[in-house]
Amino acid sequence: MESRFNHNPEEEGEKQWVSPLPHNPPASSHIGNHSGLRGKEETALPQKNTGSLCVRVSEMLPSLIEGDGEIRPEMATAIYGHLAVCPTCAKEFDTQQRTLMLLEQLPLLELPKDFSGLVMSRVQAEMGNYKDGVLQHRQTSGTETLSRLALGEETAVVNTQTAALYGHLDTKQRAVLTGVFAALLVFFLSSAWGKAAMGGNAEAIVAWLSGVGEAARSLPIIGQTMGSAFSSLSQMATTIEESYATLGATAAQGLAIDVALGAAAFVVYTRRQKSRSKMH
Amino acid sequence: MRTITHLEQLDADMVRQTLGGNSTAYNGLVTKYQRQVYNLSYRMLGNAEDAGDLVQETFIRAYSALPSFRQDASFLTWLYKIASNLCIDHLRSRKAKGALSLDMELEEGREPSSERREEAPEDCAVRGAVQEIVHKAIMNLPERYRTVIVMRHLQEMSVEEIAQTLNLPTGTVKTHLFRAREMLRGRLASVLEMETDGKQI
Repeated sequence: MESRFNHNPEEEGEKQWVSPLPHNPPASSHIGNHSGLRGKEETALPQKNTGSLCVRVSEMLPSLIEGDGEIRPEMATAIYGHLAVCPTCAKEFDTQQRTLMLLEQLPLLELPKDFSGLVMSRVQAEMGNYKDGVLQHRQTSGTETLSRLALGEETAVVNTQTAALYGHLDTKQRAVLTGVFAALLVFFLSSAWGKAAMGGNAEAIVAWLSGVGEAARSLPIIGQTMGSAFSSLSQMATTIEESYATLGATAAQGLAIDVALGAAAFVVYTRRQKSRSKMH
Repeated sequence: MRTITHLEQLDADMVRQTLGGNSTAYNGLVTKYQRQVYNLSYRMLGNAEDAGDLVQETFIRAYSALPSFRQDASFLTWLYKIASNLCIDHLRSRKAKGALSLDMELEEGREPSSERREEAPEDCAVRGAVQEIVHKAIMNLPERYRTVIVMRHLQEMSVEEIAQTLNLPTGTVKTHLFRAREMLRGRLASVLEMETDGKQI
């Protein structure tokens, strides 16, 4: 995924940084035996072209000040040697260092003493009591187990969040909701239609995916790729179907609770959005 | 594989306890890290009230997402990730609303209480003035540069930690840091010159 921070400065028309060191330092300031530099790994500064020497030093100063490990000790010694004899580079080094010192001198701000209590009360109010919402849900419904098995952990996180929202509801709302999902539960566990729908739908999906896959194989050029893709989807659906067959009641119960919690989360979210828009 | 420090192990234990239903453990994590999150938020948003709200929002989000916390990064880095995303969203919505001018925002949030050493009133005034100039200079940086400079030089995070927090390559973080420092140097030139000349502000 592309980060929200990625950017191309050139595209945004930002100016390239230009070294503020146009002068030529005295010949005595040249350090080292190499006639050129290929990178920061070099251990000595260039001898020829005094202008480029200062430019290279100024390029390396941030790494030197940061101590980020990009400048080898031998090179650091050479740079400090140069700074000792080149007043312009020394001034540049001093300015960069003092800029950072100004930043680092900003005070660490303090929060009121009871702030964590305030945060915790908001956590409780916004998300509901953890034990009441998340844990009870996880321990009793088996939803998370099923989700982890069939759809991976991300689904489990979503379930946990919906459960936490459920925990936010007041007693009356919970009672209504409990009635709704209890009815769903009874329906899926007891009615023949409910049981058949659970397994039957999965079977129908598997059959359809596999049929489309076979038909796709006859298409020119993309046929094989499409056929393989549909076969893979069909395999996944088979796995889900088998999970239902193996887990049976747990799967049905998990699904019913998920539907109910999803609905509850949606209702709570919609109501909040409405009340927020009214406030604005 | 990443080495997990003793401190990180302690945090992981507190996370496990929270997930096990012990809300006191989460209170411990809030107490431990609220100050760092607040300072990051304040320097990003420039307003104490918004920063306080953002800290609360960060810990609420973190609480609900706690089951997804893995020890790929430290708990603090994970919190910073949530907080920095919230800060960026906040700044963007503020921008979209055409919000208050920066001066007004800074006025509202003028340096809240901080740890101060005993010093003469005039030194304190000079220090306060300089700090305000530096704070405004940071607030005037583009958002991406402000983020890295605050994380690196105020929160003392390493380049690698910043890269991990912002999902950026380390090279990009270094480039942003470099440009941010150059901009700051330009904006703080008057302060630096006065310091050099030994003048008082």
